[in-house]
Amino acid sequence: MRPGMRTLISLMAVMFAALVAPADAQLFGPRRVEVSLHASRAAIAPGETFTVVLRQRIAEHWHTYWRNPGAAGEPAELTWSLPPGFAAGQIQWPAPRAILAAGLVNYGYENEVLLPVEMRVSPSAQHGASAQFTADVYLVVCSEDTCIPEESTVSLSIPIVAQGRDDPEWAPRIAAALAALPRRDESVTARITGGPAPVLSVALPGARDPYFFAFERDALDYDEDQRASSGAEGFSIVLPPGVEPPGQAPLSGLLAYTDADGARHVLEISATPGPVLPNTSGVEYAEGASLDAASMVAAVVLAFLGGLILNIMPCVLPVLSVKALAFAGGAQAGEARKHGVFYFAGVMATFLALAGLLIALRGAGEAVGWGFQLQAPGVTAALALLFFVVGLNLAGVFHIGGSAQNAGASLTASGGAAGAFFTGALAVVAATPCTAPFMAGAIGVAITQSTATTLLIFAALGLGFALPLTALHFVPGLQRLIPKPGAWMERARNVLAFPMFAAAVWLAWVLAEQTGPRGVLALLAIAAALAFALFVARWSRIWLAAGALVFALTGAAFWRPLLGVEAQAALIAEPWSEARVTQLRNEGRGVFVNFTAAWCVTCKVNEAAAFTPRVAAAFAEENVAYLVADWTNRDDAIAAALTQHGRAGVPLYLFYPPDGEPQVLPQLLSEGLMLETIEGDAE
Amino acid sequence: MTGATKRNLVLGIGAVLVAGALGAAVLFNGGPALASIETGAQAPAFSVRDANGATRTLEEFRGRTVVLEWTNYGCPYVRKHYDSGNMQALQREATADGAVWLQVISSAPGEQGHLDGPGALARVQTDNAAPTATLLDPTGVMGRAYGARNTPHMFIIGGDGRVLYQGAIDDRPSARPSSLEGAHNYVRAALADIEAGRPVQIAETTPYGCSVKYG
Repeated sequence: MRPGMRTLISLMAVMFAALVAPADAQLFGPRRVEVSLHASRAAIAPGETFTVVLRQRIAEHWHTYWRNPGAAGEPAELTWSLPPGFAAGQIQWPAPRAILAAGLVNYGYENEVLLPVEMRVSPSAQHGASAQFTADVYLVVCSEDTCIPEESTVSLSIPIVAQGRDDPEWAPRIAAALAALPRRDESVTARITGGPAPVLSVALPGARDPYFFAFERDALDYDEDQRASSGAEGFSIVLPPGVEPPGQAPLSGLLAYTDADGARHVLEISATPGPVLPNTSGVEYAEGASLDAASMVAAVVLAFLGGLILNIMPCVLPVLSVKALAFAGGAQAGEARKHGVFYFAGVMATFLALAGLLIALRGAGEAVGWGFQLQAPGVTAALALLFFVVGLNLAGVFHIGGSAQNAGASLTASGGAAGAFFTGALAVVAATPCTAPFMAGAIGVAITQSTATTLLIFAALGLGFALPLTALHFVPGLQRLIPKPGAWMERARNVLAFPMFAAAVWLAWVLAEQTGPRGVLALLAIAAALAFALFVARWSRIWLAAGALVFALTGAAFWRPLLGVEAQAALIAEPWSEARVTQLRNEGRGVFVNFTAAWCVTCKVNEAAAFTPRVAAAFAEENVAYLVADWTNRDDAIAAALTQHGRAGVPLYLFYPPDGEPQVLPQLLSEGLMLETIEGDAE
Repeated sequence: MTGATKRNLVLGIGAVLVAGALGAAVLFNGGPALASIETGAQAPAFSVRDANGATRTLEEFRGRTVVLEWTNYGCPYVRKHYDSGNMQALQREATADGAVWLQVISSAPGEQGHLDGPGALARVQTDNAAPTATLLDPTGVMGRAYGARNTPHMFIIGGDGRVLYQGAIDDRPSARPSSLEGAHNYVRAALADIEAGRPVQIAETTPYGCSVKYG
């Protein structure tokens, strides 16, 4: 059939399928898959084994399925009718393609596929007769928008002779199909590491763009991407887990990858459960991840330029400007050079320390990329506080070390050479959040490589970063470019405070994404306490002590969400409604209702103090339901309930014992009171 | 450098130049188009029109067991369950036991399985189906919120709004009518567990069938 004709027919088929109310699956139009049987042998001898293939010729834009169909569809099934004593093996599935259809990943075949089946001829087969091989074929063929089951019966007749012979047309084709089947490679070590994001790590250095086709459909999720990254000794793939996540038992499937020469391979592997193989992860693959000398130089140059540009990023510029202003304040030339060296050392040491940390984490199997440090809420919060404090300093709220003349050293308490070193370190730390969005692509290429390369790239980055200010220390001509000191210096400092505040605002938003409102509340509370402490500290020692105490108390009260330590408040809330209360009470359950709002400080203090893990356990033990009436936004039903209990606002705590009258709890709760209420009355 | 990386770079520079405040957007954008919901978590709220034009919400069924059935009348996997009467029988059993049964059509206009209100009502008649209502989700908002991937894709939501079951209708991922024989129906089993006050034994399975025809 001519291709154009076939397209027309499939098009008509689609229209037909859409028009006919398909009350019966058989009503779907003509076939989208032409199936036929072919054998490697033109004549067969008793007792021999040969190969039969089911050939599928699939219409354009349609696909059939592999043994694991992925997100939709199902594999072909063959039901054989064979002469007595003959035996057919299982389908030997060729490597599939990942076909994206309707946004979901399907594993299957397009255009044409040969499904080989091993066939054993009965040892007692009669010479001179013909063997009839018949298969009922059931398959599902899908396009982007339609799936159609197709059933057919195919057969093949082969003469039985004393001396079998190959089929001249099909023997070579079938041999090629068999040779192309994925082979199991026992020499490749593969591990599957369970967890919320299971990791498949494979010791195959130099391989890239890997993709894993699991044999078991339940193991993986097919609407999320597999994320691969490489290390010096192989690669790892973060697999989206399915209903039965991998990790406990060996995980078998096909691994497709591209080797160093650009050839694509498919291997059958079985990954054993265990920790991630060392040096098999880094960052996401960039195109052409394998670096030759030229791209290595390019990466180093890119990193150097990136470092230079970092100097003018808003997180960094204020820090450095203040350092530069120190010259205007009148630093001696000899001192300046020494400071320059120490500043340089500070920058380089910090960059290399970051690189070392990255390498160590990578070795430990963490899937890290640049900016990884911002993935920890604690680090995000600490950086936000740092920017806030630097901003306060620049705005003149407090001075470390006193006079305005000493502004350059004021950022770092120790002053002098050590001060210069720490200015360098601080500048790098301050640079990290700006680096993340800005440098992701450039560094991403570099840290897929070996440890030495990673260090080299980071050194180049540090060099570029340190250069401008170090040069300023060494070249008197440059120092003269800085205007004469004067009132403008204080103003410049004050203005530069605001980019720091802006950076802190951004980090607060990042924190909101990571921890939700609780983390932001914690950050802002600690920031306010810190500002208070810094502000009052200059008055007297007593004020300093008071400031430190306030800061310590606030920190103690709020640190949990920032370090990811959630209070184990396993209290599972459901939204309140009068109907729900009635229903639960009818079921004979105790009900506790918390009328609260996000803006109600008393409520939040109560929830933090009184809804402890012990209280949560008591709720569970006594089978008391916990309902929350959230009045953060206007809600007439909640307002009416509050009025009914004589309150104009939140908090209001109501406890309905399983039997008896509801009690109104005090507006200030404690753990003891809660336990007494829940346990005492529920018994 | 990939196109995406370039775009991130440009976005990043732009954001940094504005205030350094929005750079994180580059790090946090994207994500899969389909949500995944946790079994045991609160089911996503929805507000969609049914085939009669009334707005239906999850909230209105609070206190009752709700079965969601993603459907596409043109899908052979759906046909297997309707042409055999399997789905209709389950609908009648479930609703007789007090559960709410909602068919959901997330096929976009022009895609297979899309129906307007009268069309959906006619389809219910033709199939002699017995859902409580047929929800029309042509924009796919509800389907994506639930992470509905296939037709049929089944969800059971408890009276407290929690997802008690999600996945396939049974353990035979096939469009063959003969596969129904001896199949273990996960939805029937889960409904029996819920009715008996037991935890649902098999609470999550891999759904099978056609893909949902989102626009």
